Amino acid sequence: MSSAIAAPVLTQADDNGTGRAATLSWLSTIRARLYIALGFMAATTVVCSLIALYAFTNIGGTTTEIVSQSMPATVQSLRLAEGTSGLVASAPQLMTAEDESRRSEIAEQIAQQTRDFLARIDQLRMLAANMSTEIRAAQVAMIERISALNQAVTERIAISDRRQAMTASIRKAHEELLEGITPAIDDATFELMTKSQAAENKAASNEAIESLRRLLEVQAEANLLAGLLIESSLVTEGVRLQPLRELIDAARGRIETNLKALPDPEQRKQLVALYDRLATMAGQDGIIAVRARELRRQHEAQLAFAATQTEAVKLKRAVDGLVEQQGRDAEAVSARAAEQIHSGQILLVVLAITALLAAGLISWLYVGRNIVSRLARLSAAMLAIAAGRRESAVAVTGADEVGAMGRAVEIFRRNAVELDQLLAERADAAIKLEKIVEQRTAELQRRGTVLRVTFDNMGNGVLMFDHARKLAAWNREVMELLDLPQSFLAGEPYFADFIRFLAARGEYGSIDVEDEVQRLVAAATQHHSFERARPNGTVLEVRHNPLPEGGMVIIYTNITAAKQREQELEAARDSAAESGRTIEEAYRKLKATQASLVQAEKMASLGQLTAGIAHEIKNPLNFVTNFADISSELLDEVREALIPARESMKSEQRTEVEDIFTTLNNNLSKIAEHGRRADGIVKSMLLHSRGGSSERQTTNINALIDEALNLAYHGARAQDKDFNITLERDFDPNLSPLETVPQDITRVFLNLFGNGFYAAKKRQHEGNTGADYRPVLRVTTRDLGDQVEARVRDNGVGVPPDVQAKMFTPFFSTKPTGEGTGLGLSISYEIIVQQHGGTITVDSRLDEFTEFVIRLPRMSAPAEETRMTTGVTA
Amino acid sequence: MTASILVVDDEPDVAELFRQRFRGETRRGDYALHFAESGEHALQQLRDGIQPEVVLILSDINMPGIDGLQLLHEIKRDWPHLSVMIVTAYGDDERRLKAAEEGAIDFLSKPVDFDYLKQRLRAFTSSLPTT
Repeated sequence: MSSAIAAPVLTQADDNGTGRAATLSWLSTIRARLYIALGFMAATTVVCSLIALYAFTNIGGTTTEIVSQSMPATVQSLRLAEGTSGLVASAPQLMTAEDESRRSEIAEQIAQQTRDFLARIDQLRMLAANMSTEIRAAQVAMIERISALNQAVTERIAISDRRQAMTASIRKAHEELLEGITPAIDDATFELMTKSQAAENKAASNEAIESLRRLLEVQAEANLLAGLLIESSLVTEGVRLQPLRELIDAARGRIETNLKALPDPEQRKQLVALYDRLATMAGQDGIIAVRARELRRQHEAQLAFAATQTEAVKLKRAVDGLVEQQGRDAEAVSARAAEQIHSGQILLVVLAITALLAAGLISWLYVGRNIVSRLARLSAAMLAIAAGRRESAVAVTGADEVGAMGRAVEIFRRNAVELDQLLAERADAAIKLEKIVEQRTAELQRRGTVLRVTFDNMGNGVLMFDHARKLAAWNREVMELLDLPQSFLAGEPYFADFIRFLAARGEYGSIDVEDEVQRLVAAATQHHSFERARPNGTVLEVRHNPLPEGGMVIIYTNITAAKQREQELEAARDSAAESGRTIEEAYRKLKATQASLVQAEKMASLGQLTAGIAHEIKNPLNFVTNFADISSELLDEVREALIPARESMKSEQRTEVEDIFTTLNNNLSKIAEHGRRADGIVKSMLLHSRGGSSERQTTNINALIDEALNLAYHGARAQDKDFNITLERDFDPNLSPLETVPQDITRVFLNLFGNGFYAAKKRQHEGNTGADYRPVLRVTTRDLGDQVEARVRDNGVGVPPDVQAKMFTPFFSTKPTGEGTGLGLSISYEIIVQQHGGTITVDSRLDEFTEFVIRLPRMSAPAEETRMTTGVTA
Repeated sequence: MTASILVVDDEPDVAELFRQRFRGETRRGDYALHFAESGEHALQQLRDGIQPEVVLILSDINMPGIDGLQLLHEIKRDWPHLSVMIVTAYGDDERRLKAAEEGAIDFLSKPVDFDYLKQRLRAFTSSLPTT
C-alpha cells in the first residue's frame, strides 16, 4: 500500500528532472522516517549482541582453562603429596626389616612407589610449567638415601645371619669338648680310686690326682669360655667387646696351659683337637669381630635412616609447597573468571541502557515530535470543528502527508463557518418572538399562584359561600381541620347541605339536625363567632362574616393547643404543690434513719465496752460479797465469845453493845446484798455480749407473744398479789411464720410487757385518775407482707418526750434505784434492730397511753456476725 | 483424813478469802490449803512436791503467763490422777466447754458461792479412796 503511494511520487520527481530534490522529498516522508528509525534500532541491537557474545566467549575460555588445567594439576599435586607420604613411611619399615625376604619385599615396594612418583612428576610438569626443580632434587636425594639405607640394612642382615650361624657352632663345639672331657674325668677318677687302693704307689697316685685336677679345670674354663662367647654375640654396645675379649683370652690361656700339662699324650691330642674348634670362634675372625661388624653396620643403617628422614621432610615440604601453589593458581583463575563475568554483566547493562536511550531518543525526536504531535494537533482541530468551534485555524505547515491533510481540513473549516453565520441570523428572529409570548404567560401564572398559595397557607380554615349560599371557594386548611373530602367540596354544596353533612358525621353531637340548619342559616347574615369541640378532641373557634354583596365567609381557627396549654399549666401548678409535700416526707424519713443509725452505732460501741468492764467488775464483787459474809460470821462468833463478858456489863452498856452488833450485822448484810445486786446488773449487761450462739428458727409470732404475755402476767402477779390488768389480744390470724431467734424476741416482749404493767400500776397508784380507771394492755399483730408488725400499748402514765429520746440508751432508767437495771430497752433495741434488722419505735401521751411498735422484716440481713463479739474475749 | 487443795489465782486477796472461808475446816484438819499466784508457780510447787499430797486444784482462768486452761492441760498431762476445778469471772459457754473437754470436774463463776463450793468439796473428798 505504502509502496503504491511512494511510486507515483518518485515518478513525478523524475519527471520534474530534479533528482536531488526528489530524493530529499522522499526522505522527508513518514514512511522513510519510520524505516530509518527502525533500521537504526535494529543496528544498535546487533552491535550490543555482538559485544555480549564476545564477553561470553571470554568467560567460556577461562572456564575451559579451569577445567582442563587448574583442576587436573591440583588433583595431580594432591596425589603426589600422597605418594610422598608413602615413600617417607617406607624408610622406617625398611629400617626395621628382620630378615632378607621381608627386606626385599619392602625394597620392591619402594621401587614401585618411586616409579609412580616419577610418573606423577612428569604429568605435573606437562600441566604446570612452573613445576619446581626443588621437588625433583629432593626426590633424587630421597631415592639415593633409601638405596643407601637399603644397602646398609642388606649388609646388616647378612652379618647377622653369619653371627647366628657362628653362635650355633660355638654351642656345638662346646658340647663336643665337654663330651670329650667327661669320659676322661671318669677315667681319671677311677684310676685315682684304684691307685689309692694300692697305697704304696704314691707317685702314680699323685699323677692321677694331677691329671684329674687339670681335666676339671679345663672343663670349668671351657664352660666359662663358651658363656663369654655367647655373651659377646648378644652385646649391643661396641665398647663392652674389648673387656670380654680380654676375659676370653685369659680363659683361653688357662685352658691351653692345662691341656699342655695333661700327662696322657693321647688324651691331650684328642682334647686339643676338640678345643681348637672352639678356639677358632674365639680367635681374631671369631665371634667378637663378627659382632663388632654387625654393630657397625647397625650404626651405619641408623645414620642412613636419619638422612632418609631429613630428606623425607625436605621432599614433603617441597610437595606441600606445590600443592599450596596449585591451590593459589586455581583461586587466581576462578577469580579471573568471576571478574570477567562481572565486567560482562556491567557491559550488558550499559549496552541495554544505551539501546533503550537510543530507542527513546529516536521515538521522541524523530517520530514523536515530527509526526505524532502534529497528527494530534490536526486531530484536535478536526474534533473542534466537528464540535462547532470553527474559529481556530488549522496548521498547514510541512511537506509530508500530515501537511497535506492540514490544508484540506482548513478548506472544510472555512466553508462551515460561512454556513453557520447564515443559520444564526434566521434563528435569532424566531427566538425573539417566542420570548415575548412566554413572558406574558409566566406573569399570569405567577399572580394566580401567589393568590392560591396565600389562600392555602393561611393558618385558618376558610370557606366562602356566594349570594345563593352555594360553596364558592375553600382552602387546604379547612379540609384538614374538618376532615372534608375533596369530592364533597368539589360538588359545591349549599350551606344547608354542608351543615347536614357535618351533623351526619356527629360533629354537633345528638341534636335535631334541621333545627340546627335553620338556626345557622338564620344567623348567617350577621357577624358572629363561637367555640366548638370536635368529636376527635380538636377545639375550634368559628367566625361567620357576611359579605356586602350577599354570601359569607366562615373562618375556622384551631385553638386546641392553646386550650391544652392552659390545662397543663393548671396541672403543673397542682403537681408542684404535691411534690413539695413528697420531698418534705422523704427528708423526714432520711432524718429518722440517720438518727436511728447514730443510735445503733452508739449502742454497738457501748455494748463492747460494757462486756469488757462487766467481767472485770466480777472479780472485786467476789471479794465484796464474800468478805462481807465472812465478816458477818466472824461478828457472830465474837458475839458468842463475848456472852460471859456481857454478864458483867451494866444494862445500858449491854444494850449499846447489842445495838452496835446489830447495826454492824445489818451493815454487813447490806454490803453483801448490794454486792449481789451489782452482780445482777453485771449479768444483765453481759446479755449484751452473748457469743452469737443463738440460732434462727421459724417462729409463730402470735404463739410466742401469747406465751410471753402469760409469763409476764403471772410473774407480775407473783410479785404483787394486788396487781391486776386487762389483757387484750388482737392477733392477725393469717400471720405466717417468720425466721427469728425466739429466745431473744421473747425477752424483748417480756421486757415490754413488764414495762407496760409497771406504767399501768404506777398510774393506778398515783391516784390522780378517776375511780373507774381500769389498767389495760393491748397487743396487736399484723402481717404487712414483707414484714410483721407488733404493737404493745398500755394506758399507763405515759412517757414524756425528753425521756422518749433517751429510753433506748443503756443504764437509763426512770425506775427507783434497785428496781431496774436500765438495760431492758437497750437490749430490746439491740435484738430488734441489730440482730433482726427491724425497727422499734415508741409513741406516748402523758397519762393516756404508751405504744411500742416493732417491725420485723421477713428477709432480714442483720449485722449478726459483726455484732459486739469482741466484748467476750476480754 | 486431810484433803490437800491447791488454789491458783493471781489476785493475792484470794488466798486471804479462802483462808477465812475455810478457817473452821482447816482448824479441824479437814482441808489443807496451798496457794500459787501463777500457773508457773503452781506447776513448780507440784513438781517440788507438797505435803500432804495435793488431791485437788482450784484455778482461775485469766492470769498472766500460763492461763488456767493451759495449766489444766499441763496438769492433766503430767499428773492425770489430780482433779481440777475452774473458778473464773468469765463464765461463758466457750470456756466452760473447753474446760470440760480438758477434764475439769467443775466450773464455778465468780463471785464464788462458797456454800456450793464446800458442798462440792465434801462430795469430792468422800468419793476419794481411803488409804
